[in-house]
Amino acid sequence: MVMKSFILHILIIAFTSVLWGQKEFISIESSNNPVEKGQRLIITIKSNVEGTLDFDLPDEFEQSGATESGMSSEVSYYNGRGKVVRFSYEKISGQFDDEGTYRVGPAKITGKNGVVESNILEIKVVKRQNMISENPADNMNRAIFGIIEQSGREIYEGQPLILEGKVYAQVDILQVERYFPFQLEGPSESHELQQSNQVTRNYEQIAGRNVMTFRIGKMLIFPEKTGEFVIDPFETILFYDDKRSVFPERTKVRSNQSKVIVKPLPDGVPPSFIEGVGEFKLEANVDTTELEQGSVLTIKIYVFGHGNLHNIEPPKLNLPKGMILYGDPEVDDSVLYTSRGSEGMKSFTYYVQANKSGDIKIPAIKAGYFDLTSEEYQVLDVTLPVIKVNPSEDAIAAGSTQNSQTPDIQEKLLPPMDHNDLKIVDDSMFVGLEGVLWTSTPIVLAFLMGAVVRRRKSTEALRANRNEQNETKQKVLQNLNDIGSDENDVETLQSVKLAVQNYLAIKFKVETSVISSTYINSLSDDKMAPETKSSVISLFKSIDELRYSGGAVKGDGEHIAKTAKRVINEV
Amino acid sequence: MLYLTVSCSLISFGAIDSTALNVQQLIKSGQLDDALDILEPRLQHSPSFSDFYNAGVAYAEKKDYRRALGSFESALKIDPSNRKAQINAAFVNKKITPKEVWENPFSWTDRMIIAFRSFWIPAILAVSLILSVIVFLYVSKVSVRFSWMKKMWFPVLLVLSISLYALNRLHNHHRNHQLAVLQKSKPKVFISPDGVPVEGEIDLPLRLNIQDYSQDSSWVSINNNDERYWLKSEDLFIY
Repeated sequence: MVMKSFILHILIIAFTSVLWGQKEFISIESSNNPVEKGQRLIITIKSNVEGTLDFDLPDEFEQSGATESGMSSEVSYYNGRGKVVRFSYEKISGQFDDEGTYRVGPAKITGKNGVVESNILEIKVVKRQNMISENPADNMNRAIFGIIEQSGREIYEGQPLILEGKVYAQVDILQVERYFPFQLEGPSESHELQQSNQVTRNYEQIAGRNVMTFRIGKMLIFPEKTGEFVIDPFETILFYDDKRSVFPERTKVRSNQSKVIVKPLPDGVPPSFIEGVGEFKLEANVDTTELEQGSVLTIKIYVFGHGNLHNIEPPKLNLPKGMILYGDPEVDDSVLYTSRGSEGMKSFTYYVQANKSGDIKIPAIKAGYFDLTSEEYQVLDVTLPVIKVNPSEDAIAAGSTQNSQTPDIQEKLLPPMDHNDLKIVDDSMFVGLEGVLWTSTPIVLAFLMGAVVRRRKSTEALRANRNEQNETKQKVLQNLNDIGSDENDVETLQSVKLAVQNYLAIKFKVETSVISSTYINSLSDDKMAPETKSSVISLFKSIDELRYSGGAVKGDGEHIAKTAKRVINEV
Repeated sequence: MLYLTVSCSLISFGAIDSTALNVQQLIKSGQLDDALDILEPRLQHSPSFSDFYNAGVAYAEKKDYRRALGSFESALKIDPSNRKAQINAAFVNKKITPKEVWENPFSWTDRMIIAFRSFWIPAILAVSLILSVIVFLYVSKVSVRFSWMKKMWFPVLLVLSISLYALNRLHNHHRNHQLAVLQKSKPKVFISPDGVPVEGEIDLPLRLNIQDYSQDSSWVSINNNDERYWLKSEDLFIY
């Protein structure tokens, strides 16, 4: 370990000595010059001077990734003699997104011998060149390249355009780090059909070589104008396995640029054209085939298919006289975006008032669209059942019958009437404070009556309880008076205790068995005074002692009965 | 019982209109001005549905479609579901603005509440009585044959709440005059009720929602495209 550290120190000292011995220099270099707009380039600053580096990049330079630092050496030849130059370097990768000439530098290092200044590098940024051929075989000089695949070079207005990136690699791709999708230079509506982080690799034979491929960024585009549109390249940053390097390498791949021509639809547009381009079917139904005059009929039209389904217009209804369309139709859709465009179903609900009685035949509903397979306009039609409209009571009252001409609101005013004398309801007595009074008066009265009845009931119950208490008290006292001086047996003592317990049970509205010393002790002072509590407990204790000690003598029964009478009176 | 008797005596809606037949005959015979001479004073004081409706017919026959529309919609304010008034309102609306489809100015909720207008007051009275019994049973704690009524407190309270809400809405519907029909296609529009006119022509819809009235009700304010304007009440048929 000590040996390794020693050798390392020797090497560092030797390397520093070599650097120290060289002429001081600092330079700025670019990996490409000129570069395309958006093309990745590496700016390298080399120097053998130790000190603080002062260097600013132009604001237009978009740095992509971290700055790489290290030490290296190279051989420079002068007069046929090679000289090893050792230096430290910093590499900064990035791009310029606008055309122009940009000045990079000078870089300055303040060292022990003063300030050393580098050259100024002028980088010319030119417009993007379409360097990639649409034919993969022509690009086999590149390790990795990308090509835009498109569903057509020329499409019709409204026709969906499918764009997809395809990457060809003659090295092993390890990871797709970032993806920047292609863009149509013009107004358009875009829908992603594939997530860019989900790619599946394949292998193809191109120019006799086995090439790995994958597709990325599949997109559905609906151009919104006619004309020629440029499709800007897609870009992706990839990690690939470079056999010459220990670590995976990172590269940015830019595809070719493409074009699409959006043609206007041919002449001969049918009057029932719903702006549909693709392939469609038509269905329709009504909610009822019989209704009363003046009622509303619901007509529902469904358009199924694929193409630009989401952009189609509602089919026009050609209604007979006496049928009035209310407002615009309600639109509902169930559309998915797929490789065939927007696909699914779109429904239109029309509300039509039938103001004329009789059997109404609604003309066939027509919907024209441009068929991409035949490249011709097609007109779909669907017929609705005959609607039977029964005359309303108002129409009959107005002097019409089912077979005669009913008054049509479009043509005739209904006559004056003589019987509808409905007026505004005088409800003011039931609104506001008066309304509250009207509503709450019976409720408040009921509350008061209920309270009175409840109080009366409770007073009666209280009175009954008092009467019962008094009767029990008199009975108990009578029984205790009957106990003579000779009675001192256990039964007598027990009967005294029971009499007291009975009285207390009625007094406190509990069962007789509940009355005990513990219960008495638990009573609050407002229910029984503390002195009375002590008397009752003492009485119960005396009775129990005499009963269980067997030492009751003559006169004990009478004494206990007297004590019990005093306690009852106290209670 | 007294409460019931007084309450029942309050549940009466209008009386038979004896002059309506005469007005009808006048309109049918083309004596429109005579019919309007009878109707117009009546429209100011306790007008009936047929007063508004017949005035609408008379105005329409005189080709005064804007006033006719206001009359028909006023009639609909009393009975929004009346088909004759709806048909005639749609007819005159088409005469004024052929491209616009007439729509009933009153919401479905209002129409429902008005359709059951004779139900709400009896419902409130009946439900108040039932609620009183329930309150009595709860408070008195007496046990009687109809003690089961105590379980009905929730539905009873629900019906009472709905009825009170409906009656309040009905009251506001009749008392508040929030709609108006323009009497001229291009009325003078002002930025304040003191008469500062708005420059240029303002495109107003045929039917306006009134936001506010001036103190003496001679001016009304409306919102049009998020802008507040004032119009003279005399340029509008307010209902």
